[in-house]
Amino acid sequence: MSEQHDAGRSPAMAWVWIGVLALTSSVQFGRGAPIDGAVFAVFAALLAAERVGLLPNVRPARGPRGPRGPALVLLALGCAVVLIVAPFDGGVSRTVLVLIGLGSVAYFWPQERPPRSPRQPASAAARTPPPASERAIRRRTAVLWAMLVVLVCLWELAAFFLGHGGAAAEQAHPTISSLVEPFVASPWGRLVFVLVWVMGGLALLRVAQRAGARR
Amino acid sequence: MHALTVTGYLVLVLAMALLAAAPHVRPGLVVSFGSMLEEVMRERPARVTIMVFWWWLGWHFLTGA
Repeated sequence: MSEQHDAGRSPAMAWVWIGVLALTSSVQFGRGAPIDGAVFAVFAALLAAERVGLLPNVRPARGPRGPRGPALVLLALGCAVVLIVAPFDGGVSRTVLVLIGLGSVAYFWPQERPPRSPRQPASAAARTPPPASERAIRRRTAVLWAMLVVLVCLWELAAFFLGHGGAAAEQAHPTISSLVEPFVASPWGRLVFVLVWVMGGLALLRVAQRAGARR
Repeated sequence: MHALTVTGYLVLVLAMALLAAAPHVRPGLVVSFGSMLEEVMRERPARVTIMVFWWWLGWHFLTGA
């Protein structure tokens, strides 16, 4: 396997993430949301194809790049304004969200450089490994966060299935969506949600750039 | 049952808030959320998966999908 095809590859954990996407896709199809399911399935398939070498590794562009820094923040704020004022489930919102998604792929997909080993990922290649105690702390942190996220997913899934017995059951077992949607449907709620969502995306992008994605 | 279900969500949100605050209260117990996220996102599959979930939240709540 070429060096290019090694980029972004760690062994089992990568397949765990791909499995998460595939599992989420099946849940989305199961709840009658084929577009959502297709999105998760496409990314699971793309990542799987990249893992087995069917897709070349994409590295960060060295030449002309997309908006960065203040220009990117301004662009994000422009998108936020459109999402706030556009009709709730109209074509404008959907178009902007699709463009945001496609644009995000260009920032999140590229991998800075190939990991030296499965346990020493890309941007850590030049660093000395952290001491065992620090590794243990990091592992503990990751395990605790993963446990909480899995618990949220299980609680949400339980509410989803238990709420399928009619209106009373749905009222007794609300999903996160049914709790949040009334808030987002209000003008101020939509404003808050869009701003938090956009700022969250920018924060994720910043972390991704530090972690070895597009610079 | 409604209150129980909502309480479950609130307990989990509270647990996340406590875990996020833990590095500031007791350094050495866990690392910060940002630090952990940066380490996780060094790998493309994790980075792209997290990005897809973030995007989907916007799609789900802002389009009524």
